[in-house]
Amino acid sequence: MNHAVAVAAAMVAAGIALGGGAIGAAIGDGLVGSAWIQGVSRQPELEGRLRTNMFLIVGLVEAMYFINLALGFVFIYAIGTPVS
Amino acid sequence: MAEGPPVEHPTVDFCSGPAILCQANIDSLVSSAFAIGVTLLICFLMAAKLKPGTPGKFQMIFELIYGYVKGQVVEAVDAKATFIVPLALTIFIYILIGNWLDFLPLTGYFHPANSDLNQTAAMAVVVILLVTGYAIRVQGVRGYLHHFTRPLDMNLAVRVAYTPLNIIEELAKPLTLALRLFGNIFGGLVMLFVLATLVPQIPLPFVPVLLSAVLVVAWKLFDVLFIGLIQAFIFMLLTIIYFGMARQGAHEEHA
Repeated sequence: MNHAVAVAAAMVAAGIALGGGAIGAAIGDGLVGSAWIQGVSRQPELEGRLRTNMFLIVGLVEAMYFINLALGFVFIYAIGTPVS
Repeated sequence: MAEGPPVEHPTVDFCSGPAILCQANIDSLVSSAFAIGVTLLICFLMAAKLKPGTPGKFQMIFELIYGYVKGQVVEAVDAKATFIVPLALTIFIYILIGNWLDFLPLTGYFHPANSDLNQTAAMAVVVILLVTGYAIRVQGVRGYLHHFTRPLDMNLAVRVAYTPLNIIEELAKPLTLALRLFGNIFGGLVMLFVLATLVPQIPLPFVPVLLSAVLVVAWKLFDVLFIGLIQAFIFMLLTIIYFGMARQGAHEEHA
């Protein structure tokens, strides 16, 4: 019984963590994209250089979400396997 | 493909003793050894076939990457700090090959080499030790410790209050470096597992197995090809940037 409660709580916690992380990553991606479009529309000749930087920052921003995803899964798995 | 992500690793014992000293994850050992072998093979073949004048295709690509990395090092660190270039290039090529192992039809002990936290943490610790050593060499032990009391133009009370924050910032560097790479590669494998096993169970009027296969291929192309490349690039670039941060303050003191 206790184990089932722990597993359910772990699932809910992972869901909340994933949801919050997804919100943050989406907002961050949107900010990066909007800043890139503004920069390119101001100085179109910088498009190539700015695109490299944009993908770099998108990678940095999305890393937070992927850390959430991986660690959430690890925690679910660690709690889900019953301790004998 | 339907096998789960490597949450638990099969281990092997090298000696009798505590697990933290004598136990290793055999699958990560095999995968990273394979990636190291491929990296060395590619680079030594490249070095043996180098020729001036009209370079081949691979030499063109290598010279492009080398030129970019060298430009970054000169810009972010110092014109004389060329020892960073081989380090950064090795990190980039090794992580790239380790990530792209997922494309090879290998089973058994093989998985993307960076989906084990031990692997990425080892690389991050090596990078941070080198950065710290470089900082001490450039600024001296006194200058390095003095560096922890930033901002340097404030009065003493503010600088003492900021010291714990600076220490946390220093500790966060290897932690985020390791967790970022691990989380991306491992999260990609989790996603692949979900797409391959859970999507076929959705009750749909058409064949969900086909949908699952299309999604798996699309996700694998995006995740392994694109995110794997970006993460290798980010790890390399952050290494160079941390070396550049290690020089902070050296200019002001000598100027």
